[in-house]
Amino acid sequence: MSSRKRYAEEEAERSSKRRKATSDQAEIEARLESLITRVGEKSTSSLESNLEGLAGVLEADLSNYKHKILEILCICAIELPEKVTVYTTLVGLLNTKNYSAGEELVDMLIKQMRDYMKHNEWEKSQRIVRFLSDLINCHVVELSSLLVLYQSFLDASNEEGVPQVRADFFVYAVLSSLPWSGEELSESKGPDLDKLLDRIDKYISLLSNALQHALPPFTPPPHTDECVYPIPRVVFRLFDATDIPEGPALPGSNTINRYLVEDCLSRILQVYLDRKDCAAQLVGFHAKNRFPYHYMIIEVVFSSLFNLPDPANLEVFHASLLLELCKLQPGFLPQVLAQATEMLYERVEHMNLTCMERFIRWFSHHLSNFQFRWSWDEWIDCTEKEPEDAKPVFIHEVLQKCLRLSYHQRLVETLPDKFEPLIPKEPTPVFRYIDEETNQIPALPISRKLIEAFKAKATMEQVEEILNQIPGPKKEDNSGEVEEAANPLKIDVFVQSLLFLGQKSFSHTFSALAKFHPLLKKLGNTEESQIFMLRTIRDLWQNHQQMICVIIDKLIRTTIVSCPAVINWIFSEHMRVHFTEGFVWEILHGVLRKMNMEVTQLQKELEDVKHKKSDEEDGETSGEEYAVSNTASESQVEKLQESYEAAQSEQKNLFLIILQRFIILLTEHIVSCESKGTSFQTPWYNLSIQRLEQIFTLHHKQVSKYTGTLENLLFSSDTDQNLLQVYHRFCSLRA
Amino acid sequence: VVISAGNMTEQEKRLRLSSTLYIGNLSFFTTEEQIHELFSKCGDIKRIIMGLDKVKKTPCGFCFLEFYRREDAKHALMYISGTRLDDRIIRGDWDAGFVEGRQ
Repeated sequence: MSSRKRYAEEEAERSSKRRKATSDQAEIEARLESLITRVGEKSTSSLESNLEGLAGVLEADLSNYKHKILEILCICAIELPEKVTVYTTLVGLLNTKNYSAGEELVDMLIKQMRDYMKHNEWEKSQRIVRFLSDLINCHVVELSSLLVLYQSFLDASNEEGVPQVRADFFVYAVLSSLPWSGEELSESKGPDLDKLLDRIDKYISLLSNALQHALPPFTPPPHTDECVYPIPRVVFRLFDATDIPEGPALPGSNTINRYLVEDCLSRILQVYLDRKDCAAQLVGFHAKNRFPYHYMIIEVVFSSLFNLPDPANLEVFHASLLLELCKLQPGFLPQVLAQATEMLYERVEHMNLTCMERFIRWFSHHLSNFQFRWSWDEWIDCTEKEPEDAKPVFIHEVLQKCLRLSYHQRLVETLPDKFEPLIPKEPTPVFRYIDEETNQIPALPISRKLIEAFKAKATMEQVEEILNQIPGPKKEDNSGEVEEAANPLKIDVFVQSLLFLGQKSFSHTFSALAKFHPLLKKLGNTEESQIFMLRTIRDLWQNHQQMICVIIDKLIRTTIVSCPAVINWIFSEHMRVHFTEGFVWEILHGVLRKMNMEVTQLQKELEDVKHKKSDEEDGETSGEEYAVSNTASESQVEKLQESYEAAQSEQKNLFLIILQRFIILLTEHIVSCESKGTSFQTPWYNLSIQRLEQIFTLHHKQVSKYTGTLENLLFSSDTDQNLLQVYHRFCSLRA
Repeated sequence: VVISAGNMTEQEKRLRLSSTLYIGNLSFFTTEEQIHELFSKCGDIKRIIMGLDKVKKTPCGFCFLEFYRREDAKHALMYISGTRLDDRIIRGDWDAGFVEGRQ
């Protein structure tokens, strides 16, 4: 055997050993991770013995896997906060067996806490504070050093010239950890400590002889302009003890038990994103026998859904989770959910508009999974109210959504006859160019010719020729040249005929739009003519809101209409009758979402290219090759930078148009009511001012970039007080 | 054998990058509009292609659904697949992307 060959074989053997070693190591690490993360789950033996057993296993592995074990414990402290006491106990047990491991873990946690604060991950840093606080009960951390840590937090909340939200955070971090450390900290018996922990509490006495660690001194990182603190919250409350007929009593709103159980359940919602896992975790909540937990689960799910400004989870997750919960506990949860729905409906006129829309979307979606069966008769009162009152508006919007998920006949059959006025009309087109007896419709013959031509698969030129039989008004532009002005009749007859023919489905409509894209572009060459186009679409599909929404989405994406044209159309006289209806705002927020996404996308591309470029410069590419690739990416960066900046200013412009239109509209209304001597707070006004507020709520991240401009141009001291209040409420989210 | 193995990885690669879903167990009467409404809850939809019967050219219980973003398709699998549309439990799965003629 040649030496080279032998060498190769040995090398192969060595590397396979290495591979084996690393794979063994990975296997052990994975096993450790699974053991640690799963402790505290359902098991045949007691939690105490499981913990003791695990501590023994970990002690044996500490010599080889100390860093890995501590890392996993750190992650559990942050990611599984609903099991905080399980892990602090485990750490306590480890500390009695290995003092230096305890010390390293405490240092690791402090370092993590500082890093989280620096990266604006405040919630995670709060979970560490809580973990450290509970470690005093396990005799891992010295009581006095925890007090010093609290002191430094309170010092940070007393600093001058920092935002309220910073001080709020540090106070909250201390207060929310007191349920864990309060008893030890205070001589006087405060409110009972969490009874959940009774079992573990007794067990903890085992640990009383352990040596404790001092926390290293900690100074919160200073406030900078880059700091983004958590937004202030309002606590969501739906149930009180009187809503619950039997079983264990619901802890009162101001009790620490209510806070702790809710906190635990809502963490489960944040950690378990799979609907089945999440439902199982909620239902398996380990202190369930002490609380009316079905009620608390439902309250927590709605609390997450109705959280402002954004839901705490993806909106559709809540509907999906509630379906799963009903499936898992069919004997209990559907009743509690129905009761909650009743209560929300009863309070709908006091509900924030953004929350009401989430309620509408959830409820209609939920009904579509239960054959639209509901005790509708109990809500018959809404049919006797004024149509603009909150309840009938709510029901009408729910039925609009139900219609989209089913079909018209189904709703007519399912709902009591008395609901008929609230059921949306059948979503068929209202075509203008139809053969009436009078036959007096202008351009009717043109429409007929167009339809024939479409059916005969005529070319674009042939169609345009027919269309040109409608003479267009001419106008002179500045240079004296005569050009064809926007021609409403031409747009109307073409768009109505085209879309009427494509009425069969979205796909038919989309392919009609795609086929005549160049002609549509030509007809809609000014913002004015784009607004005509939108008007004619609304006229044709006035009974099919979903169709209007998807057509406009398509027209924007294919650049047939611009975003500002859509906004100006929404605020135009023509749309006044629809102004308070949900679908209008679905369109408007859709426009803003597309714009925001485009900006984000361009920003990402730009960063990627810059990144690549700096990598190349650092690399060792040299000579001609280097020069070529460098200039290529140079111009690429420049080009991207330009489109990014253009998109950003387009986005800002869009928000400014919307806010300005709102100010004009609402101010006009207030002034005109005052001159007539009537109250301006009409149902229309109340809905419209909430729509203004919703712009700030749903797009707070974008709008917060424009505060300087907004204060100079739109929300200055001479703006109406009612509108200024809305703006100031928005500003206080970050103040 | 070599060729089919190559196709396999190509197929897998397309699946990993895909933002298209196959949706099955639909009612024959379920329309594109209903599917659009339900799945829009997860994000903006690029297109829906209804599965059609070869002879009758009528819907036959499945469709392809393409999102603009893969993330949204993932959420559709997590939160919509396994729930009801037109009273039927519908099922979704990743699809490597629609190719003309697969209807």
